[in-house]
Amino acid sequence: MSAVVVTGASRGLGRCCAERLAALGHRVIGLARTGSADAPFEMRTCNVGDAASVKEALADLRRSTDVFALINAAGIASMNLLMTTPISTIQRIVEVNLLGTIYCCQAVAPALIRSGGGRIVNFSTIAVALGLAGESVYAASKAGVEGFSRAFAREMAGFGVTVNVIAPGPIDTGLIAKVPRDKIQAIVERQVVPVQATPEDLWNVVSLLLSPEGRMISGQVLHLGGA
Amino acid sequence: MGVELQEIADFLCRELASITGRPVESFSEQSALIGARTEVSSRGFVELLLAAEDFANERLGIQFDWASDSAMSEARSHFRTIGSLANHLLSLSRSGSAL
Repeated sequence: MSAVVVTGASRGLGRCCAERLAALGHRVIGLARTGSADAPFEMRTCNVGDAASVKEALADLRRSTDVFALINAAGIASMNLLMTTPISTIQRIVEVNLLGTIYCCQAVAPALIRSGGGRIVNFSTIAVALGLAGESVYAASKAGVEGFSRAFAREMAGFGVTVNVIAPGPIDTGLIAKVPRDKIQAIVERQVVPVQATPEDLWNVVSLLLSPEGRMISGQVLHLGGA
Repeated sequence: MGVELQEIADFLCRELASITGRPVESFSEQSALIGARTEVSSRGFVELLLAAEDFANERLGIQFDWASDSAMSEARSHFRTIGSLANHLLSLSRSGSAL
């Protein structure tokens, strides 16, 4: 079966997607800053916020004709007021979330074209739609992902490559582990479907976008749970 | 004997003819690839670069990185014309951007 590149594959939603894709028989190439010895798929060390690191990690795929999808799940967050957020943290959030997504799309796109088409799934957040206080930098980086993806979808449309964004509400992963429970619940209650989504809910949307039935869905931001 | 400039330019002209469906004779080293006088759509341009990348790898033994800083300048870009792209590829092969 064809290859799928998954960033942020060592844990969280990236790991969830990578494991399911591997179970379906795909060759999964997982990227993460640190390795994961127990991963049931190939892992490569990569800092997605560093263009050179991305280029090096994916160099052998560039002229491949057997790559089907890229799932950009790598992401970091720092829930904090902008006025108290260190510059280095601001830069790191934008590097990983926004530039990392762009770098990986640029690196994998030639292989998707050579493979005759494919899928790109990027990740955003409900924090963009709701304008959540304390998440301004995180929301800005993900709003960038949304804008980038809508435009990039048009660039790739002629090659049979769809580009979409999934913007979930809070899902229990390490990303929100330090956020107080009552704050999580308050966000969930602002969703159209006021129920906290699970990794499985997210995988169901990824699965749809990767399926043949997803071929006409592109340039969209899908709010898991509704926003 | 190494690959000559004309051979690279001829390859690019043939690829452009195939991509656009126009006769190969309608292209030359002066054919514009970017800017207002471009001879090819943005999709066709990407297809040409993919073909050029394969040619560079297989015939010249070099890596061709499309996304270099100079690529964005219409005045200096090696994507200006078929001739400038052919020159760039030849220059890369002579400077030893070996795989």
